[in-house]
Amino acid sequence: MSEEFAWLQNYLLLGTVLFALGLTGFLVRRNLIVMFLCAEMMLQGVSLSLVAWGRFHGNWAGQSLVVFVITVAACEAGIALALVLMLCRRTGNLDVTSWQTLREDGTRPFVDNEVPEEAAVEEHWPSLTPAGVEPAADPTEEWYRSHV
Amino acid sequence: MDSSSVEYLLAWLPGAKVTMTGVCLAVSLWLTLPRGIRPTTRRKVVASLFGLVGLVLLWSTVPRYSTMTIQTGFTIFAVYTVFSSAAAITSRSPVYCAIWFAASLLGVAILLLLQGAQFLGIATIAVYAGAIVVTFLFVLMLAQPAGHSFYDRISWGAAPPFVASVTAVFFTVIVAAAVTDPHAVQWQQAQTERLEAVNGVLQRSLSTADVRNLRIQQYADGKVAHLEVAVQDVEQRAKLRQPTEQLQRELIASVAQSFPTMDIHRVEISLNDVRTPYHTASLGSRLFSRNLVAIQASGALLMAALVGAVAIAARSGELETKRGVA
Repeated sequence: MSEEFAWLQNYLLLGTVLFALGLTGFLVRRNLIVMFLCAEMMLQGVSLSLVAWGRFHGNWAGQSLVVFVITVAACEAGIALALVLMLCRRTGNLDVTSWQTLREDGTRPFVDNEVPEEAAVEEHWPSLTPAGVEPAADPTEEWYRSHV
Repeated sequence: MDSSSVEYLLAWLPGAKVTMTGVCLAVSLWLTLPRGIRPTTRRKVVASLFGLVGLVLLWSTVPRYSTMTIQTGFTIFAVYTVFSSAAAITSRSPVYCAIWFAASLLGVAILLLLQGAQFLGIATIAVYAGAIVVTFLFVLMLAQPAGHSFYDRISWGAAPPFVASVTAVFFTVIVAAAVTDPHAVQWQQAQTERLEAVNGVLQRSLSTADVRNLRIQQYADGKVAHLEVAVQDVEQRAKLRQPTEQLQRELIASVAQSFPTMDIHRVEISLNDVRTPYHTASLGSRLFSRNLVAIQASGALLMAALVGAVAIAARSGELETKRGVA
């Protein structure tokens, strides 16, 4: 029976770690879809804990609840992704900060976080080492090429 | 060093361990979360090491499984799940996020199977990995931003990753402390003794019965002891559905021995076996009997969500033109 307690403790810890990871992602990421995905990860953590409790108490309540959690998650995914699609069509990006000024007409705007400038990212283009014999350049072809 | 200072150090050690765990996990999370700078391989390796040390410290507080194979399986799949979840929240590209999330779902499904929740394990793969993650990927393809644009903001500043990782680790450590609380462990030991006592009485007449849980509840007509019992044998199960007067009296006596101060009025037995080989059938019969209304309601909810999603995603302009033509 103490084995059952080990099952409970291990799974509760794992569920907590999953929930905490999802929470971190939800707080840090600013992409609408990734934020949504992190919410799903939190649900996974809760599901693991619920199943662990159900097994510990020897009844079906935990697993029945997880069935409903999965159902609600599926509903949520359908509606939220349709919304994300519409939001993305309006602004052209998936950044959640594009919508931080969303409010009713006539309400004073309150921006709690100015969108910072995008930092420049250095691009790394692939470079190939030249190999073999350099072909003789055809002047006519060269002329065409520069005009393509 | 005299003995009192050693005792002081020993008393202080659990707190130091908790702090170490928290710091390791927080540093690991903070290092891997996407920020302005591009993550180097060295940083990822350092973060993984910190994370591994933190997880080992975290899991050193809970007891191990007695079976070696279960312990190995749990360790492998727990590490796999946590790693792919961490990768899902730290990958830059949302496509990789979704793929890592699918990988972590696979780990969760296997862990559910390990626990005996067969239906839920398969449902997790079918519903989450099969439907939800694929929908994520579809939306990522459909919501293609115009021109060269970042999917995910990279210059968000240094504060949010720091605050978020500290918050998450704080939460984890608090729950870990609650899970390994000495009072809970004590209660569990006492409960094990009680269950063994009741089991001894029950197995005298029903050899395959196994009491999984015992709790006392106060009703209007007095205190009632609830027993969750798993019975393998069909005939014995039928017997336990209508327990004889004598068996009931014996059970009440054995429960009352464990709770001498309480006046136990009667015993209620529910036949539940979460670890039965006929798992899916049992879960289904439970869902479609006790939870029938809720199941129907969630079906209606799914239908409503479907209609709502179509209504949202259909371009409102198109609908209006069609109506105008008609």
